Amino acid sequence: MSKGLVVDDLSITFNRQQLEVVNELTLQIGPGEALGLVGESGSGKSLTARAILGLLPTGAVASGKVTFDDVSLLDLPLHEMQKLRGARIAMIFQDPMSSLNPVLRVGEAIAQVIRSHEPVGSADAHRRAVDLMDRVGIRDPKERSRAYPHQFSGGMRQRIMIAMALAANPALLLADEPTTALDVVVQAGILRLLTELRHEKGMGLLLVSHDLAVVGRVSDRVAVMYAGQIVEEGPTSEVLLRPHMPYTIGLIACVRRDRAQARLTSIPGTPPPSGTRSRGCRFASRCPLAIDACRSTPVSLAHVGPDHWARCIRTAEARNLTPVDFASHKPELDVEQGHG
Amino acid sequence: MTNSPAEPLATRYALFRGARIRLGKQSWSFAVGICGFSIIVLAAIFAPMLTPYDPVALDFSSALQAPSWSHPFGTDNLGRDVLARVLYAARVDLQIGAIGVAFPLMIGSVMGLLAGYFGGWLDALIGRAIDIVIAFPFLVLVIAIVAMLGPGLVNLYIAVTLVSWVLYARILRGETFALKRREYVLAATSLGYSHARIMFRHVLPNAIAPAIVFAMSDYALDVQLGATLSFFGLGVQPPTPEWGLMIAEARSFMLTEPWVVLFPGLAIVTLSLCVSLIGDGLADRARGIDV
Repeated sequence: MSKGLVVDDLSITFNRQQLEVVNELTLQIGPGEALGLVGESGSGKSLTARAILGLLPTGAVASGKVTFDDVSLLDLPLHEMQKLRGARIAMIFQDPMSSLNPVLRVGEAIAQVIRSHEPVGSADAHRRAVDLMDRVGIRDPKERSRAYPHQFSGGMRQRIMIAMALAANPALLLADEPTTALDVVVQAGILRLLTELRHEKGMGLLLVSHDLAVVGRVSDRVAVMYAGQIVEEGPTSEVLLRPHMPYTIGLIACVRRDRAQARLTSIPGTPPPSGTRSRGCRFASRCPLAIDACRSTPVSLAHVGPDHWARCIRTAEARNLTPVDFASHKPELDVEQGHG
Repeated sequence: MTNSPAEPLATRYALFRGARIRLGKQSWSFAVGICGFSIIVLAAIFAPMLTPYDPVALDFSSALQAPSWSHPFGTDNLGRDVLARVLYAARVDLQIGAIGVAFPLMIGSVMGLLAGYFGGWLDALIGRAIDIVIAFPFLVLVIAIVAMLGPGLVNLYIAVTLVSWVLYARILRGETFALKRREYVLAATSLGYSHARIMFRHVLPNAIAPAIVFAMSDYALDVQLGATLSFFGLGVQPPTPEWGLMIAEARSFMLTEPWVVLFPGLAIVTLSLCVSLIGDGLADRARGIDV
């Protein structure tokens, strides 16, 4: 019996266009564990999170295997899934401005979650909602529970979202860019809150973010996604301090600003759109180390350290990559993506 | 419909907070509409206290009298007091408007909600039904249905409901389409709520505002429709007082004794105007603070 979430060989395709946006993704989150899923926009990280709860947009189809406490999720009937959603697995969305129903008082919104999963009376549910609001750091929770979402700031609304997500004590929380829309101070508060709750309740956490700093602060493990694939995965400190895949190295260089280097680096080029991905390494066109072998054959995840995997055949050389290598490297432009 | 998340999600729902008073042209027209409408409703309710006459009592000795102190609006060809008839008729006409709006609003909203929410074949089915009904001229279709079912108030309601639900369905369908992509609907799904709960508690309250604004102009239209059909003999039957019917009965005296048609005509215009003003006021509010 495997506890927690196991995603095995998950692929997501947009059927009509036959586009594969996520390929053969494998990850695992045990109880109380936090996994950070990092990648740039369009790398498929949000879709992965949504696929777990069966919330893919119309036209997208997931294949492979996703199990939660040994219950297979992808082929779960809708009414079974509805029992699971919110109660066992909850989700927080990126935009706190639009993810609360504007006509529902926030206390009522939280109480609804409780009542939809447990047989409690409305007074009890409301009292618990107020407790939850207090727990996520809203002052005057009793009074504020009667307010509408538009009377809250972005950070406060995200706290309400978190309170709603936690209302039924889920065993796993999927947080899709939970702090992206917030300023850094509020962001720090939310991240601290998530960590506290995780330790306190033994809740698993999948943190989807494009921000390495956020992921580094919260998660035990990091998986880096690029163009629909996991390109590197390992314990957070391992991945951030000893990255093996050139893309991860580039990402870290983008965030870090050394004293020697006054300018922010970027990785020149853009990820290949999902229709035009080559057989070989998808990062090859932007990689300063790419050789012909990278482009011609599929690269699989290789063991590069304790519990640390990277999808690269030149990890030995990659260690010596510096930000300057990225800055001076000219990305190759394929014919297909030249017009982008 | 702007979906920009940067804008405050503030409230098109201030729409419902009628108590909030804002000075300006918009609130003036709204206030005038509300006042006028309230006066008509009160006049209808307290009609027996406002006039000593029975609206259906015949008195041939005083037929076709000009307005005077004893008969402020004059009398018709059967000697009935026109003021009494106009006041009692308001009861019927207000009811025609209310029922003619309520049923289509309910049925149309649910249909539109279902079509917009589920999409697919259900949407195709409801969408085609809407298209078919809209393809016919509104009045012609209503008259045709009443003619088939037979004249009378109940059949008039049935005909109006059969025809005008599509207008509400179309509005709700569009709104639901837009709202379905909003994150709070996705969030509601992620919390394990059932479709029914999401539709009626999360989508409907956010989608209903434009339909309610439309309902106001539809109310005026239904009052006129009721008068029109009664005029043609398809709606309210004599001797029940109804404004359109009063005009129909008295139209041959129109040139010589104009008060017999003037006052019921003015009543129709006034009620329509008041309701339209309310609708305008609501629409302005909805537009000004749209999400």
